[in-house]
Amino acid sequence: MGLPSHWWKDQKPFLDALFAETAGDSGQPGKSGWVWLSEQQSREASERIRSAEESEAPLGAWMPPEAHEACVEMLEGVVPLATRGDLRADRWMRKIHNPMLFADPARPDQLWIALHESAPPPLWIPAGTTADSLAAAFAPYAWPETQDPLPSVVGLSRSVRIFIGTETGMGADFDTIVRFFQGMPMTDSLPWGTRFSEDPWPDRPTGIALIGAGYRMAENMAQAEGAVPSITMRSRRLGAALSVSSMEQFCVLEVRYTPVAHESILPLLTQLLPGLPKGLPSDMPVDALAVVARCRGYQADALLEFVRDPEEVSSLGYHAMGCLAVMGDDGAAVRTLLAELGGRDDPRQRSLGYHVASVARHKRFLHEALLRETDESNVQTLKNALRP
Amino acid sequence: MSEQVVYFLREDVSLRSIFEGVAREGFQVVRRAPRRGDAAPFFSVDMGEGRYMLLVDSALLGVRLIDWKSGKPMPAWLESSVVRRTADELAARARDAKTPEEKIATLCEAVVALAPNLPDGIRAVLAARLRDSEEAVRWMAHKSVVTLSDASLEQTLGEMLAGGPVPEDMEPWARELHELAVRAVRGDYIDDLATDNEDYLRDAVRRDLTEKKWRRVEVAAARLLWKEMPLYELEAAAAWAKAMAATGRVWKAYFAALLVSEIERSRGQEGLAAVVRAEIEPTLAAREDLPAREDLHPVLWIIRDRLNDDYTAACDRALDAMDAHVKNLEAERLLFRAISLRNGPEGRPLAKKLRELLPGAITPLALLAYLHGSDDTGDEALADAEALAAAMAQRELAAEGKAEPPPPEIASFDTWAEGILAYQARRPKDLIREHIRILQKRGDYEGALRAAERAIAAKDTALAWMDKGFILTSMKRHADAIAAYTEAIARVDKDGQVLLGGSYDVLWFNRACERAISGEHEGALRDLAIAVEKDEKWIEKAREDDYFDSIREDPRFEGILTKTYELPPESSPFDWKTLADRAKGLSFLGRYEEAIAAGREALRKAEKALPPEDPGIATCLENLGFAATWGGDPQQGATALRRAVAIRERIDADSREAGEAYHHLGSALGMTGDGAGAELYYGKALALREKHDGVESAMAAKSWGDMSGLSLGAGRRDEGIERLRRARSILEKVIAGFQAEGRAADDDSLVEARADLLTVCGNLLLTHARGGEYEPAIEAARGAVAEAAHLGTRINPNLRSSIAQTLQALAEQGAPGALETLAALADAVLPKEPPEVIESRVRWSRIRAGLEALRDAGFGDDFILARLKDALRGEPPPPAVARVAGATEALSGFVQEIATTQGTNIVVTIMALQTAEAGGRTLDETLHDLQELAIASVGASVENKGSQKEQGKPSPAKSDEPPPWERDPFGNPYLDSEMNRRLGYGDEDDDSGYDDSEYDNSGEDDEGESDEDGYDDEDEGDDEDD
Repeated sequence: MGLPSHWWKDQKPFLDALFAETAGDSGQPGKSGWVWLSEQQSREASERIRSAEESEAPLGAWMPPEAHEACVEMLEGVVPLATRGDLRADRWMRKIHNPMLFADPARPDQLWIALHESAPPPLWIPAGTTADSLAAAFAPYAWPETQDPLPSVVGLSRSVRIFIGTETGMGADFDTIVRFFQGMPMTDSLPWGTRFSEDPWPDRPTGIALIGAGYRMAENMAQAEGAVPSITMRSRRLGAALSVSSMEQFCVLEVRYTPVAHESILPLLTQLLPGLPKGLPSDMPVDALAVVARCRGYQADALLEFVRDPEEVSSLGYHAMGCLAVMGDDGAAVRTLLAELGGRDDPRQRSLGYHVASVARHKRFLHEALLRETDESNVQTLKNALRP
Repeated sequence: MSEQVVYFLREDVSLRSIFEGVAREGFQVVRRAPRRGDAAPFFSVDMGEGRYMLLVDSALLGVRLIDWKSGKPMPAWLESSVVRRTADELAARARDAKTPEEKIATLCEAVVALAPNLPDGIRAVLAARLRDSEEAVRWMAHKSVVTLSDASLEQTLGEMLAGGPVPEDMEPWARELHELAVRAVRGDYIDDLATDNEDYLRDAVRRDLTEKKWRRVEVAAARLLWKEMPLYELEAAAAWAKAMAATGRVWKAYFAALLVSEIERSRGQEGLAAVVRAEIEPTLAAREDLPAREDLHPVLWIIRDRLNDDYTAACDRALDAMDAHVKNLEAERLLFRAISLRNGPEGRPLAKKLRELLPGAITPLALLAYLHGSDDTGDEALADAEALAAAMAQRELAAEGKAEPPPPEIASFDTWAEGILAYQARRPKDLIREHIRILQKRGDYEGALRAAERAIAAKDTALAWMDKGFILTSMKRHADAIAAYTEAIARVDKDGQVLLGGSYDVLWFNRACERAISGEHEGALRDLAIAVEKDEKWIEKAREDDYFDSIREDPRFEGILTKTYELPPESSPFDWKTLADRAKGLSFLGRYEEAIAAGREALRKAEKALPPEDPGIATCLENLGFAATWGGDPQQGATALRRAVAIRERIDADSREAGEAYHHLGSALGMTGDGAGAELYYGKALALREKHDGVESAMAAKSWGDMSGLSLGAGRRDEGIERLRRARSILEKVIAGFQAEGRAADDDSLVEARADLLTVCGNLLLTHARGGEYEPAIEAARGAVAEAAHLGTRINPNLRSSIAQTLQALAEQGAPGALETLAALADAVLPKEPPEVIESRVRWSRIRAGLEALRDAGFGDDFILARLKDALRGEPPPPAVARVAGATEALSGFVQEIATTQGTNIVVTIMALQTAEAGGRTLDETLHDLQELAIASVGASVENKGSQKEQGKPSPAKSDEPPPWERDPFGNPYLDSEMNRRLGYGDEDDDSGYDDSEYDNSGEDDEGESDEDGYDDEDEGDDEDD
């Protein structure tokens, strides 16, 4: 008796072996939890994905327009192979999860996992060719299939901060910007404010907790007194946390995450999206990366370069404030910025440094500046500001 | 003792590298301070084995340090990232600093590392820096003092002020702050404790206890312990006891610690309070001072918590312990012991003993009255209650100088005990009516009445009159009771006495009862309305109370109870005409029952006021008849209208009014089934309408319309249709005429004519549709729709749905044009739904389609209901369901719709599903109900949203339109120019500066202003231990 073989005839040999090892009974999850699709189901899934423009998560919700054409091209000929069986939603049951295993004739050496069937190919996770590689690739995204508690947000060891623009420049107030992120396909729908240092929502709201989530929303989105307004939400598969903050209207997206190795994804995204923030780490989870991919912006290092660039002096104030916002809690980095500005020859540029220090409440810098400052106007201003 | 070592993070070491190292070590960041504008960020890192490291980054002082709380050596990577300093080194560096820069740097390092309690060496340096000749140095020192503890602040500022000349810019604030610090150290700064924030108070108790700020501990703990709705706070009680002990109030401390220690002991704990007890108790016997009355206040906790089952035994032991030490306070001991027994009979002998101990005191009498309990009507209870009342009356007289005052020690005890009684039992003055209550319960009304009159004689209050009223009500002396209640009501506003456990509303209710039974119906209704207005609890009582039987049939009675009837102002005239007009108006509003009542009253008054053949009486009869006819009693209506017609025929048979009387009578007879009579009077009415208004008048059309109903009802279909067509033809001409006159669209006559025409067309549609005559039916429907387009939402909803249903039936039968006409009707009359509602309808239709697919796949309704309930519980659908296309989406969509529509809740949903499961409603009906509920909620939410921002609701990402921040953040010319303008770069002509409240660059313009610190230095650094 031979092993079962897969119906897709253009396959690479590994597919039969993988299918034989991981397929369960018809319609049932097999080893590693994937439910293999019949040829008919695959065709239906393809049709569904092609018509995704009408769904809740069309291509535009995943990718900036400049990558759409490439994404559509990449979708040509791809073959949906398996799903995770029962559909799951995010914690507020607002967004359906339907991870899908794909074969891509253009990238035939391995299979690919989309965290949701309509996720575009640049965000697909390389899944290798074996049952083990498939399981390993999906493992970081298995929640809520696992019963593990969600990771503590404060314990997420890595972070990336991106300045995404000002509220004025974006033409949107903070609430609107937050709602945009909440509406993205790869974020969870339950956000919280700085009043909570940890996720105040239950891991698996059901019944009354689920129904009551709307009522608790305002309370859980409250801000701590004196805090830089910031709203945090988990990523869709709940392993990362995304915070949007607005410091003096300068908005920053922070992603905190546990590293995941997907080295091929970021280079492809970088190629397709010239506006993608530079210097992103390659170990971000895909659900978090999918959020970042929708934004343009700069990390602190790039902004500091702008601050240092004499050619950019006409936008110095903007760069400096963006830099301050994106540096956040990193006091040493802020002091580098302040030192840069405070050391300028132009008294107005030094004055800008004092303004930034004032916003950041770096008082020692200001007192030290008073010792050094030679411009009478700046001296007077500093004295007025610092005198008890 | 090991030397304190501080590890400063080198400035060239990035925060990221530290966290990467932390992750490599397997340490876990467990706390990250909120990013607060006014607090230094800090991170707590769990290093395992109960060891933690803190990373603090103080923006204020420009220093980062690591507090390494591990007994182990630092890992090499971290060691190479830090600079190690001992406290002595820090002090030496700060002391030896020469240049202002060095002074600032070393001061900041030392303060950030060693605050809040600075060692002497560094404190001395800080004091010196606060007087430094360099402004920047002393001002930095000024900023850094906010990190200090109260004690360090007090010492530092004290040294600074005593250490020599103080610069002018430092002295005022330093003196003020020093004074506050002195108070804070002394612990008598308590202004912040005047709060109801219990978390704050608990924090204060804990913090101040460690700092031994006893005054603050005492105040904060007391606020927690004596709050209005007390729940025993063991921690606060223990803290309070400690504060008492520490401040030499040993007896108070002991009594406070009694209960805490007993409770702790019952839990197998030996907490701090027990230690206090252990340390204090052995010393008590040797003490020279004895406990004073006030020392016993903590015993109240014991008494209060004795009722808590968990604490009863501990409380009893505590009381026993108390007894052993308060031999000198026998009265107080008896009082506490008796109160602790509450209503138990064991308390009474103690109270009697107290009475013997303190003759003439109020307290034992009040205690006895209280301890009898409310059911006790025995002689002893009565005697005790009377004794209390008499003693209280005596005190009243004494207060007015009309009797001997009690001895001072008795008065003093009573005053003190009143507080105890008020807190634990009932105040004496709340018990002085007990004897009246007992007498009433015993049926001795005469005795009760005498007692009540004595009470009034002693003090003329609403309460006393109310008691008298109650007694008179019990005696069924209704007139006297009304008088007593009236006296009481007159005193309510002036009466300082508070009615315990009730309100004075009862006065109006009881007077309403008495007036009702005495035949004063108008007054009864008015009093009842007032009582109901004051408190809705009287509604049910009124329904049940047989006192109101005499007015129960009056529609106003029910109107008052359902709050649909508003009594006319008392001063307005109740003449027959006013009432007749009111009856007519109420009929037009559809409030027929009230109209009938008003009509009857109008008729009654008119009959008294007018001659029998007066047109006014006919008017009253017509209004009454109309109301009765349409209010469901056409027989009664016909009777009244026949009388009206008879009067009209006798006095002005050809008048317009006679015509209307005929028409109303025709309607009434038609409703009673007397078709011939109806035909006769409709005919007479038509003749008079044609005579006065014209053959082709709106009034004539109304007659034709009503007469068509008679024809159709009698099976004379052709005649009916003919009459309808006649009516339609007339109305179309009337409307055309109005339009030619240029009448406004909302002209009452035009609107009425259109409404009549719509009705006529609707009836034609129905008649033709029933006859299967599609073409004329649709033609009539189009006529109706044409009017509907003008009338919009003003159309009677019943008529609208009747037309719609008829058209829907015609459409189903395939009548040409029916569907289009139905759509046109919908366009014309249905309110336009907001997009959110339409979207919700679409989502629900998907849900319904998905569930329908399940049915198609062979699943029964019970199975589907069970899956819906599973979905609400978060259960995934079984594979068999998931395989049905659209089913999973329908189930999750169902939960989502329920979850996200605020008007629908889980209880309603589950009840609805359970009702359906039990067979109460079908699945379709249930889904329809839930859908409508959800959609209504969406609609309401859209309405309410207005300009409010709706937090928490994700906005769907649009496919084609990039969000604004996809533009390069630096590519915005407006923003660049705006920022440049603010910073003074862009426009050379505009150097007005920063124009920014945070940072004012205008320099000298601000000189001399008191608050110029644009840098907002509130609270910096004081949250590092947040």
